Amino acid sequence: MLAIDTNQLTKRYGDFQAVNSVSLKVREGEIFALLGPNGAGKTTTVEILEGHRLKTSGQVKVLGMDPSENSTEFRSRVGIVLQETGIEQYLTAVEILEQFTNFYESPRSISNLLEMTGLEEEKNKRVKKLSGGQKRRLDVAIGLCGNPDILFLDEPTTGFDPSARRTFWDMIKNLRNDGTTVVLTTHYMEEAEYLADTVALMNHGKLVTQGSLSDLKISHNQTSITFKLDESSAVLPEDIQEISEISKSMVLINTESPTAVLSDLTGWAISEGIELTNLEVSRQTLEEIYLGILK
Amino acid sequence: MNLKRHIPLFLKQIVYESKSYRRNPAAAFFTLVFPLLFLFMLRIFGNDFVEIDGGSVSRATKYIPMITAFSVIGSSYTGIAMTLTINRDIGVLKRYKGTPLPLMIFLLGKITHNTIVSFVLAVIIALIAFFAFDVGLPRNSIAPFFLTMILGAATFTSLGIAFTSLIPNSDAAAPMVNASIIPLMFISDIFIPMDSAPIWLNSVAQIFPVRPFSLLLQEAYSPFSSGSLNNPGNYLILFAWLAIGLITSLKFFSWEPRR
Repeated sequence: MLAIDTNQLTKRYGDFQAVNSVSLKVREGEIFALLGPNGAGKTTTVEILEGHRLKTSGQVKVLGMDPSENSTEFRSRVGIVLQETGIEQYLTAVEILEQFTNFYESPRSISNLLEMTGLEEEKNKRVKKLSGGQKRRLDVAIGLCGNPDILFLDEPTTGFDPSARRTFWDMIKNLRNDGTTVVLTTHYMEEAEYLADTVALMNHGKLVTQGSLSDLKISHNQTSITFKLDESSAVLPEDIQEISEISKSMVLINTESPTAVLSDLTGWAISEGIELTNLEVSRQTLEEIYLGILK
Repeated sequence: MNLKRHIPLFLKQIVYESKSYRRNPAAAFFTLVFPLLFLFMLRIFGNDFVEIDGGSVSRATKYIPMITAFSVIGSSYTGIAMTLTINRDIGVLKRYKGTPLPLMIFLLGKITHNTIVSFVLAVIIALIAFFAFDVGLPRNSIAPFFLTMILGAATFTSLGIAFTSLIPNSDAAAPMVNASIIPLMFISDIFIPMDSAPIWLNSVAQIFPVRPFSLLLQEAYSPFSSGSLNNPGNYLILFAWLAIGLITSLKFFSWEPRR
């Protein structure tokens, strides 16, 4: 079953194509990360899916419904965590959650929401007095009030410290394990790498690529080989020299056939009696793939 | 409408509105401070007798209803337009939009809460006037007074909400709201008694809700009024503006910042 299914989704502001023929497929119960640089059209896309913005053309189905109809059922089944926080300043965290759980027919319990987001100790503090990270967690708690089938998270961990981020990630994974579909936009590649089952990359309003994280890594199957080489004592064989980038005696080779390259390289080094210091072989991270695609 | 669900939801919205309002001391303070300042000025100018329809009364008795009208409009129309625009700009309203809370319940919660606040404000002014300025309570006009207050506060709140659809952002809120209401107050028996104003000016003011509201309050406070609904026309005008405010709010209300 698809939780989200868009076909040729387009949003135009005058002559500007903010979103250009985007066809996204999000399966039920997965964490889906939408990536891309600022201005790529991620937020516009997500806001159309949330029902906050109207599409110009194309088809959109979220949980089988058209978000633009803005039905009560749609609102009840979708949880939204916006990029900007705006919460009544003078109510306490627990009062805010009481208020928002009222809006739903079968809400999550407040104690459960506080526990999930780690806000138990802050529950009687007024929103005004919460720290940035605590407000963000309250944001997420509000998004979860109605026990949604699908949760939208727009750059949820901006401004988090590393340990808070890790706790937050585990919470999102738990949600997914409970069957909630999560749609995430983020600037942090390690966030997508840690969380996402599927990633989609947008640039200039277009969908550049979409697939499971492992597929993406296979299709951009580059391995990086690095080592240190003192150029005064050795010259690389020509076929290796051709694919190498050398700077300050560090050699970098990006290759799709690491086995053959490594064999050539080590064979040459052994026969010449050279030690390849700091030799490292690693698969490209999502960040490197991302930057490679955007180049 | 699912009344069984929506009525409790509506009542709870009023409770949260009220909590949020009471905890913002600045807003609550300033709604009270302006009428008190007015009353203080009145004291300085002396409390001699002036003529009104039916006889002569103390200056305070003449001005208290006008001050009440000014304060109620300030707390309902001006107050709601400002807070709503700020809440819209910082994303509070957009968050509500993403939930199943119906727009109608949200708006009715705001209007009802604001009406209660305005009503309490009017009662406080009446009590201060009674104890400090010897102004009679609108005793024999208690029904018209209550009706005027409720209708007036609801009308000006709904118009305040409707007006936010014209305000681009919170920086523009104060100047736009003031520009829309203060000139009207000048010709509507709020700051200046309009007994000797040209008839055409009073006729123009009578189209808008401020003058009818002020006149109804003046009548309620007048010791010479019979206490019956003497001026159904003024109620009708307020009622018409209430309808305009509600319909416009429902149609053009925006949950999101307009930039």
